[in-house]
Amino acid sequence: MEIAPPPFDLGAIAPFLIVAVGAMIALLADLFIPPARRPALGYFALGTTLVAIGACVWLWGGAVPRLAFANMIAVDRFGLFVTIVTLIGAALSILLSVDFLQEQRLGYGEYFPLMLFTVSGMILLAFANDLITFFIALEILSLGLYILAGSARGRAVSQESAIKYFLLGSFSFGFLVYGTSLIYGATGTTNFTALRVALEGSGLTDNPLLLAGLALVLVGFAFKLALAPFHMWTPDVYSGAPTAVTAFMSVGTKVATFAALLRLVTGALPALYADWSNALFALAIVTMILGNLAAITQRNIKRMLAYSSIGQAGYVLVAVVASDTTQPGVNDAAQSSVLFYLLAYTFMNLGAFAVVVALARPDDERLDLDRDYAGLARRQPLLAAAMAVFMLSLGGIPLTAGFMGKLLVFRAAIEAGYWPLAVVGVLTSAVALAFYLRVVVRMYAGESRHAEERPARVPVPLAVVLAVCLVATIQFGILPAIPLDAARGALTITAP
Amino acid sequence: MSGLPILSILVFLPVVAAILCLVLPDRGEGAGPARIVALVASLVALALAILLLIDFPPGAQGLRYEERASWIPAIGASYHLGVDGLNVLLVFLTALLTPVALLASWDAMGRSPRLFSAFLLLLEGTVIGALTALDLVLYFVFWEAMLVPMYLLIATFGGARRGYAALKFFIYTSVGSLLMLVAILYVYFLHSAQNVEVAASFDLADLLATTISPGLQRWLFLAFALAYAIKLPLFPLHTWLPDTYTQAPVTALILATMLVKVGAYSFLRFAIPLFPQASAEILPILAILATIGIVYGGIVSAAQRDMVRLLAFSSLAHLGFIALGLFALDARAIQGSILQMVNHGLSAGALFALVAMIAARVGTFDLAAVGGLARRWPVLTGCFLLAAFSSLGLPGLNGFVGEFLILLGAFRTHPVLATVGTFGVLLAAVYMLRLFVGAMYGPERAPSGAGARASRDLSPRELAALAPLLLLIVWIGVYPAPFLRRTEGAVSQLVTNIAAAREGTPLTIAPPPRDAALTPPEHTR
Repeated sequence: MEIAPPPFDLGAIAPFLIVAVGAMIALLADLFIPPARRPALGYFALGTTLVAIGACVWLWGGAVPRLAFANMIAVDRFGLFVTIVTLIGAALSILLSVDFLQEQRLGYGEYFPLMLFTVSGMILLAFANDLITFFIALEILSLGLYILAGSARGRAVSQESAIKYFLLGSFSFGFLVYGTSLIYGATGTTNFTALRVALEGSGLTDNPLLLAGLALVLVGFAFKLALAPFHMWTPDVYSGAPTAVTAFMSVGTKVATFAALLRLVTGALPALYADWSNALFALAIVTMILGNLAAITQRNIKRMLAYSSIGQAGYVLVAVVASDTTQPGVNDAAQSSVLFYLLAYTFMNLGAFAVVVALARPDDERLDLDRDYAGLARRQPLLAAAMAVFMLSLGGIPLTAGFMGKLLVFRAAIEAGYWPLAVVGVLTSAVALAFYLRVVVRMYAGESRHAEERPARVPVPLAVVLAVCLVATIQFGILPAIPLDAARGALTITAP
Repeated sequence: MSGLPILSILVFLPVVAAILCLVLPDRGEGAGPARIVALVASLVALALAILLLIDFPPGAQGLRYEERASWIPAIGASYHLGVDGLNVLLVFLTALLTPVALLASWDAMGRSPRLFSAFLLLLEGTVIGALTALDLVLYFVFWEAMLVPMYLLIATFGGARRGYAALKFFIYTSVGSLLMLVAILYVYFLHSAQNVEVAASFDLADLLATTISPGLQRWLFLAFALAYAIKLPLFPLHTWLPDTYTQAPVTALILATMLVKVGAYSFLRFAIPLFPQASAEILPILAILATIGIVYGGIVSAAQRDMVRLLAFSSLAHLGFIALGLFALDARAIQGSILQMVNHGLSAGALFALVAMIAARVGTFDLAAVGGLARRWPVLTGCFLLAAFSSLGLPGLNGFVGEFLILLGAFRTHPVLATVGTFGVLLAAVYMLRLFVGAMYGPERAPSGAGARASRDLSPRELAALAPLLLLIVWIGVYPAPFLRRTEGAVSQLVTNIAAAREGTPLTIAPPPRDAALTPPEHTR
């Protein structure tokens, strides 16, 4: 039997290739660059992500949607939009890291190459049109993150974080693989497009094997996305990892994994809408409530942001639940709000982490809300003002991107008939204000404990990150039409 | 004036000036160019607001000075502002109170005058935005956004427990608002389901044409009413108010009293017209709460030692009156309520300013620690007398006109409640006279070590802050017609529509004419 190799459409995966090749070059270059020059690697990595963004823009205008590599890759605007968001997050995280690594004496080593490899995994995840591709992409992304989480070699918490992440990550892979095998057993395919065709009008939708497979895959996703009650690893991993890595992890992973989830459930399994939407409905409610309630008691800013990211994932999930492909109008509103929310979340969350990074000192990461954030407005008014904007945005206060995101998500939920989700969503948003605003209160009303010391100098790359995040957070809150139109233009999940 | 986007200027001029203030330097306590920039900007805004008020034809129905622009076309939200009789006075009042608040706070802006001025200006811009927005998303954005500068004012410049007070204020008042957001979305989808042929819209004029079953109206109205009842605040949802008022910088309260009036106004603009049947059903119950608020606020106010806390509870009583008038659904009562909102802004604004001026001289808000100030500062005493009498509703001053109209209207629909409310007027006399007599007469008492200004009477700056308020207090008291006539058209239109809905006739609330700003003024008396 002769197996014809699929045509190599390398252009289709240009962003992935650029980032992967860039990672390899950076890995090699690291050997030849004297340690003092290593920050240059950071700028090389930044350049790589920018070129990749350029490639995405080029593909956006080109022949999309198309399938490549035996239908295992779907290049469509949905994937490109997510890739661009991921790459923006990566570029900002890289800028965040350049001075942070030096300051915290973490050493450059493989840091930037690993980051690029991770990004390549995220890109592949956004384009994955087959459970196998999806799986490989998730492995690439996770392996890099395990090492990055432990990259503060001298710190026990960082090692603990890496080990926990690794163990829980592997555990969740187990669910995913087993679920995938069950789905394959029931349908004979792992390809999203083929799955969809196989399920349409077949009697398979009640097949226990298929449903068990779906349940296991969803559990795997829930682990990866840190949805309650599968979120237990998140606070430890997020607070143990170096802050720049946490920032990157909390944004990039979520964006790419949500995209993959959305592509799987709406692109491959629309026939099972009733099943997965019920499961995700329950997860969304538990996640919104638990994430936001648990964040209230946190005194460590990184742990608080970890729980906050759990709550934020709950809001995105609300819109995923509402993605009912049988009602095109509803589905468009829901999916575009997922994309918009992910974009807004990228900027506001990275911005918040950028402030945390800016405050860190070599001997002390300055993470205690009561001790280190009190009176910040007097010591560093600009940083405090930026943090206030990010907190208000995460809390969903108008004139910020976070509000528009929530508005779109709740609008989609109500349109799809899920008004209980919207009610739980707004109530938990109000609860969430308690901890987001507490940061602002501490900064503006608290008495400074570090009043005598000189304010930290904010290095230029970090200032750029802060400025970009700040402008985007406010701009998307006041005039959301441009990103929203882009998100609506990206709504063709390929399933020919 | 017809070509000028006057409402947009009123919203965005303060915001732009606030941003300018933020980048100007602070030159230590009570100095720096920021507050001058802020004052100039607020005076320009005031001049525009006065022009707007003069130009607004008395008795006019329908919206004027409408501005429309596309904003978020993907969801049908638009930038839509306009004024009519319901809000034109309040826009003017906001523009008036801002320079007053700035002047009154002139050298009480703490460590950072630029932040203080900027927050005040942001408050002005967002309040005017919330007052004039006619698109529900735009309205909600302003409605929530106006909490932020107030929150920052409390958190940055407030008293000892400012952190707690700021948080309580923000969370308390946004919980209700968020449910209102869900209700807004619900109405929006009802509207687009009933009008599939037109694009979905958040515009109030479009949403008013939605048919909503009475059962559903009840829930949606409650979601709106909860937001407004907290903001207003109605008893028993008032507990944020005393904490907020006592911890906030007192001179900022001059403008902050506008926040609660946006709550009262929103009943008239949104909740009642959108859900007329439910309003007719539920408002009588809320009117009982409003009456309890009048009595409760009056009694608690009379027992306070702290002057700011006393004024906070007296505000609660006054807002009870305003609410009672609104909920009576009677044209005269509603007109009285709108006028009383203005009156409360004037009298409470003047009283907060005066209490701050006294505290700046004697260093305390404790009523028991001061006395006999009349001999020392006769001018201040005179101003205080006028403001206190206005607040307790003395005939000949503005408070009387508003309360009289409210009670007159309320007697027709809720005779019992109106009777009880009348006793509230007596209570007002008790607490106001206690405040005035306690502070101004009796043996001369002032804490030792009072500030260097202790010997001086009101400065020209302080007089300039008070003068416009006192002038209007007398003007409205003697000749309220120019103000009342401007509210007449819109209120009678509103009441007619509600009555039609209550009688069960099919809802035909005509959306206000789209090109109202272009049509020539109708017959004016």
